[in-house]
Amino acid sequence: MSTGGWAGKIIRVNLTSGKISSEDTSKYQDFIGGMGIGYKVLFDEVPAGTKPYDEANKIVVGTGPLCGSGVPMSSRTNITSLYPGTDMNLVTDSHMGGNFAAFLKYAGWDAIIIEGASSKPVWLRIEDDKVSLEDASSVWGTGIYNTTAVIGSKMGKESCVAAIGQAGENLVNLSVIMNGSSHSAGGHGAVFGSKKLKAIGVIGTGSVKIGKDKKELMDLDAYVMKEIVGANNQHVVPSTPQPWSEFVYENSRWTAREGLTWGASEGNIDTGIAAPGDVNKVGYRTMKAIKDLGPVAAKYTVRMGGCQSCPIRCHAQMNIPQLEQYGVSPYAANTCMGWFSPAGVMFKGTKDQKEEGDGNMITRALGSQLADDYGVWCNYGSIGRDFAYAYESGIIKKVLPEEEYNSIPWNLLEAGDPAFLKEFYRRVTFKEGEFSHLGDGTYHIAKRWNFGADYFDTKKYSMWSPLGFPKHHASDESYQVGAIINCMFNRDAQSHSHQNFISSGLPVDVLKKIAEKLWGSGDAIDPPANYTPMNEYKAKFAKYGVIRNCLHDSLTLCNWMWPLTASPLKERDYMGDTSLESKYFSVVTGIDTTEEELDLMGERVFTLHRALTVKEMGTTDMRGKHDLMVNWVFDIDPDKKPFTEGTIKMDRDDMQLALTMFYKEMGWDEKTGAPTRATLEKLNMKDVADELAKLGLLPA
Amino acid sequence: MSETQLILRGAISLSNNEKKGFLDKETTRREFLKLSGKGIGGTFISLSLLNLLGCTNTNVEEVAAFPLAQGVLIADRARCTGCLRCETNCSLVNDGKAMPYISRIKVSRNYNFGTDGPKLAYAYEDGAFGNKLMSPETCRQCAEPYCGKACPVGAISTNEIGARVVDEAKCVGCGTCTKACPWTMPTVDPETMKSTKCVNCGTCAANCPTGALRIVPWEEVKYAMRKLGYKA
Amino acid sequence: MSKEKVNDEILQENLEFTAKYIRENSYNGKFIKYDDFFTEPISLKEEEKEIFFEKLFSNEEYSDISELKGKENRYFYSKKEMNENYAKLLYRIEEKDILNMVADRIRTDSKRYPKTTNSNVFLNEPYNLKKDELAELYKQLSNLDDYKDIKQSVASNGVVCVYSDKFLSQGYADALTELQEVTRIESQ
Repeated sequence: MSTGGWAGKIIRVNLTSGKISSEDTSKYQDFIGGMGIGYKVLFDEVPAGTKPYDEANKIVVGTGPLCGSGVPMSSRTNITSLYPGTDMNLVTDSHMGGNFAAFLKYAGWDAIIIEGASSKPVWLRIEDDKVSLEDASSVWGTGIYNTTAVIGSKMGKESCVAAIGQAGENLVNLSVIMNGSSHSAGGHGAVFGSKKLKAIGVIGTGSVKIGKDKKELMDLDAYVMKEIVGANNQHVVPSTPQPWSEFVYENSRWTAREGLTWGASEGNIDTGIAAPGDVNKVGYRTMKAIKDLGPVAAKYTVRMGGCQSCPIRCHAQMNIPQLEQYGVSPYAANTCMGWFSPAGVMFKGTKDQKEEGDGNMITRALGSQLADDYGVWCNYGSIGRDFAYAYESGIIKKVLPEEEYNSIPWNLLEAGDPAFLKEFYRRVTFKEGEFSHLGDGTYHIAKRWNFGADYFDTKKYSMWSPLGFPKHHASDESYQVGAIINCMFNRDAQSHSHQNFISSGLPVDVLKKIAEKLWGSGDAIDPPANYTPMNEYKAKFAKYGVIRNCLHDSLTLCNWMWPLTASPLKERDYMGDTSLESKYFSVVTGIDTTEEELDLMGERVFTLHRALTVKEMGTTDMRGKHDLMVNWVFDIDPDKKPFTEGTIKMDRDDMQLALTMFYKEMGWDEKTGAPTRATLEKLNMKDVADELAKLGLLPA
Repeated sequence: MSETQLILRGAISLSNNEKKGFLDKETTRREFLKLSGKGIGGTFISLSLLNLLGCTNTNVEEVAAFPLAQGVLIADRARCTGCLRCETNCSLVNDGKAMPYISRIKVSRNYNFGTDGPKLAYAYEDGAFGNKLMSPETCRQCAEPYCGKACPVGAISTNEIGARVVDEAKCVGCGTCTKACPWTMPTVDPETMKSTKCVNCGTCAANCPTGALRIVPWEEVKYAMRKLGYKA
Repeated sequence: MSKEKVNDEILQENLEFTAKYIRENSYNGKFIKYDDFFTEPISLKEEEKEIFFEKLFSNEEYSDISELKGKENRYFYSKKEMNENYAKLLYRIEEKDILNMVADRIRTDSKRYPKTTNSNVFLNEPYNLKKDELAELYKQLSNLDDYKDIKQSVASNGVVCVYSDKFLSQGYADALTELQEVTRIESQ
C-alpha cells in the first residue's frame, strides 16, 4: 500500500461524448505509470487493426509516481498511442520533458486517457480536480507558441500547456505535442489533431506526498548530487583537461571550463571549473549550445534550461538577433536533434553570414523555431535525409508536378540560405502539394516516391529498420547490444542506457571493470570499432539497457540521464549506483522495493510492449517480421570482415544468435521472439496471455 | 576606508542583533525595486561587494542580497535556469511534501511569461516564451512587513535571525497575508489551511545547481577580503 | 601576550591562508610559483621563509601540498585539488615543453581508450596554441625521430585526427576517427 508518489487518480476523457471521469490508478500500479499505463490501456482497449487517426484509437498522456516529487531528472511525460509514421500503425511512445508531468501531478492526476474524437476543436482544461473541455476555436489554426499564450491568459500565468501546432491539426504524420518552449514529444501530434484536441492546460496547487521521511529523500539527493551525477547523458569525464580529472574526452558533454560562458547572459556567466562534488555548479557542466550550434553559439547563449527537477540543463536558450530577418523571434530553445534536423534539411550546407559558423547556427535555430511552432516532427532526423535522398537522386524532380517543382526556391537550398526552411516547414505543415508528403514518414514516402533499395542500404541515410525508422545508438556504436535494442521498438529506440555508459568518457578498461560487476564479465563491452562475437554478457547488458529504459519511461525518469551507471569519482572506481531508481521509488512511494523487484516491473512493462506489438502485427514471428535490420549493417566495409579490428560491420548469423540470446534473457520464445504464457504469467499478466491465446498469438 | 571595506568589516564582526539591524536598515530601500518591473528584488547592494563575492552581474536591478545568520544570500536571476528544485526542496524540508504552490521561493508561477503573465509582446518579455529569463522571487523579509501588519491574529513575528515567520498555532488561514504582500509571497497551504512563509532556512540556496541563489558564508567573506589585501 | 606567541599565531594564520590559497589555485588549475609566495596576497617576508616552508612541508594538515621542480621554477600545488595528470600537463605548459605536451595527449588517447585525438584540441584550453603554431608543431613532430609515431587520420567529412602508431594501426585509427567524427554525430 503506497503512502506517496502516485496521485491515485487518472482522468479519462471521451471526446466523442464529452464525458470526463476519474479512475483509480491502483489498477495500473503493477505497471508503475507512464509507459506502463499507456501499454495497458492500449492492449486492453484498442483493437488490433485500429489506425492512428481512427476514433477508436486512444492516446495516454502519462506520468509516474516519481514525477513532481523532486527526485532529480524526473519530469518526463510519456505519451503512448498508435503511430502513423510506419506501415503497420504500431504502438509507440513519445516523450516530452519540461514541467508538464510535474504540474499534472500537482493537480492531483497520474495520467490522462483520451478516447473518441471531438467534432469541434477543443482543449482540455485541468485546474486541480476541476477538469473541463473548452472551445479551442480561437487557437485552432495557430501555432504552439500562440496557443500557449492564449491558454495562459485564460487559465493564469501559472499554467503549463501542452499543445499541437498546425501540423498536428492537419494530420501531418510527423508532428509533435509540445509543452513549454522546447519540450516536444514526436509522432503523436496528429493523433491529437484527428481528435480535434488542440491542447491540455494544467494548473496544480496540490502536492506529491513522500511515503517515507523527507530526510531520506534529501539524503539520497545529496548523495546523487555529490558523488554520482555527471553531465548530460551521464558523461563523467570533462571534454577539456580539467584539474579535477585524470581523463579527458573531447566528445564528452561535460564542457564546463574557464572562458566558456553563457555569452548573452547578464554578467557573461562563466561555466568555469565545475568539479564533481560542487553541487552548486552542476548546472554549468553541460554548455550544450556549443555542441548543438557550434563554438560561435557561446556568445548567443542566454542560459541553459530544461525540465523540472533536473540539475543538468541540456536545452540551450538562445538570443540570436539574426533570426528576426526571417520573421521569427530571436529567442530560440532546443536540444540535440531539435537543432540538428534542420541542418539535415539544408543538406547542401549553409552559408556563413557575418562570422565563421554562424550560417550553421542560424539554420538550426531558424528550423527549430519554425518546427516547434508549427509542431512538425523530424522522425529523429529522417525527414531531412528522406528529402536529401529524394533530391539528389532526381526523384523529387520526377514526382513533383512541374508547376509545383518550379514554385520551390531551390536556389536557396543550393546557396545554403536558411530562408529555404520557411518554405520547407510551411509546405509540410499545411500539406501544400506533393512535396509535403515528406511529412508522411520514411516508410510512406519511400513507397510513394519509389525510393531505391539503396536508400535503406546506405549507412549515411541512417535507416535501421525496413519498417521505416532510423537508428538511434545502434550497431554502429555498440555492435550487438545496440543492434538488439534498436530492433525492439516500433520507432527509433530512444534508449540511452547503454550508449551513455559507453560514451561516458571512461577508457574501455575502466568500463570493462564496471561491466564485470554489473553484468558478469567485462566481455559485455567491446573496445570501439573492434567488436567480438556475441556472448551472454552482451545479452545481459542489452537487457539492462532496454529494461531500464522502459522503467524510466514508467517512473518517470529521464533516460537521457538515468541510469547512473558510471560516476565521476575516481574514489568510487568511477562506479555509479544502479540501485538508485529502486531507492528513490521506495522512499517516494513508501513501498520497499529492491533493485531486482523494480527491474522486474520494468520487465513487465517491456514485455507488455512486446505482447502489444505481437497483437497489433497479428503474428508471433517477431524475429522474421519485426526484429529486422537493413543491409548496410552487414554490408558496409566490403573489404573487412566482422569481428576484426577497424570495422563496425556485423555478421548476419551472429546477429540472429544475438537475438536468440536476448529472447532467452527475456523469457520469450527463442525461435520467434514472442512472449510465452509462462513468462507472461510469471510477470502477473495472465490476462494478456489469455487474450493472445484467444487470438492464436502465443508461441507454440 | 571605502564603503565596501566598511560594509565587510562591519559584516564580519556583526553579532546576531547587529546582523538583524543590517537587515532592517537595508530593507527600507527596496520599495523602488517594485517599480522597476524586473522579476527580482531585494537589498540594494554595491557592485564592489557583489564582485568580491564572485558575482559578475553588473545589473544591480537583477541581483539582490540578504544577510542571513549563515552568511550573505545572493540571488542572481541571470543564473536561474528554471530547474525549480528550489521549490520542491523548500516544501520538502519545511512541509515534508513536494508542493511548489506553497514554496517560499516562487519560480514556476513566472516560468512561461514572467511576473506579469502572458501579453501580446510575450516573445520579447520575460519568461521561457520570451527572452528566456526566469523570475525567481524571494521573500524580502521587509523591515515593515506588509504580511505581519495585516495579519488579523498577529501570527507573523520576527525570529532571532531576523526572519518574519508564521506561528502556525495562531494562523487561521484567512489569506490576508497573501493579499497584503505586494509580491504575493505568503501562501496558504490548501491542505493545512496555514500560511507558509520564508524563514531564511537557506535550503533553496544550498541546493541550487547554478548558485543562482547562493549563500556566501561569513568565513568566505573574510577570506575574500584578505585576498584583496584587507587584513583583519 | 608574549611576542613569540603573537608571532606563532600570525605564522599559523599565514600558513592556513597560504594552504587555502594554494588549494584554491589548484582547484582552478593553477600552480603557485616560488616567487608568488613573496608577493600579495601571501606576502611572505624573506626572513620568515625558512621556518615557513619547514612548517608547510612538515605539518600533517598540509600533506597535500606538493612541489614540482622545473628548469628554473618551482611549482606548488595541492595533490587533493589537482589531479596528477593535470599537474603533469600544466608542468609541460609552464616549462614550454610543447612537443611533449602534445605527444603525451595523443599517445595516452591512442593507448588507453583507445581513440584518436581531434587535431584541433590543442587550440583550446589549456593548450591554447594558435593555428599556425599548431600547424608548425605537427610539421616538427613528423620530422623528429622521437615523435615519428604521431600520424594523421582523416574522417570522411574531412575532420583531421591524430594518433600514435605505437598503439594503433592506420586502419584501426581511421575506423576510430570515423566513429568519433561522423558516426557519433549521426545520432544526436
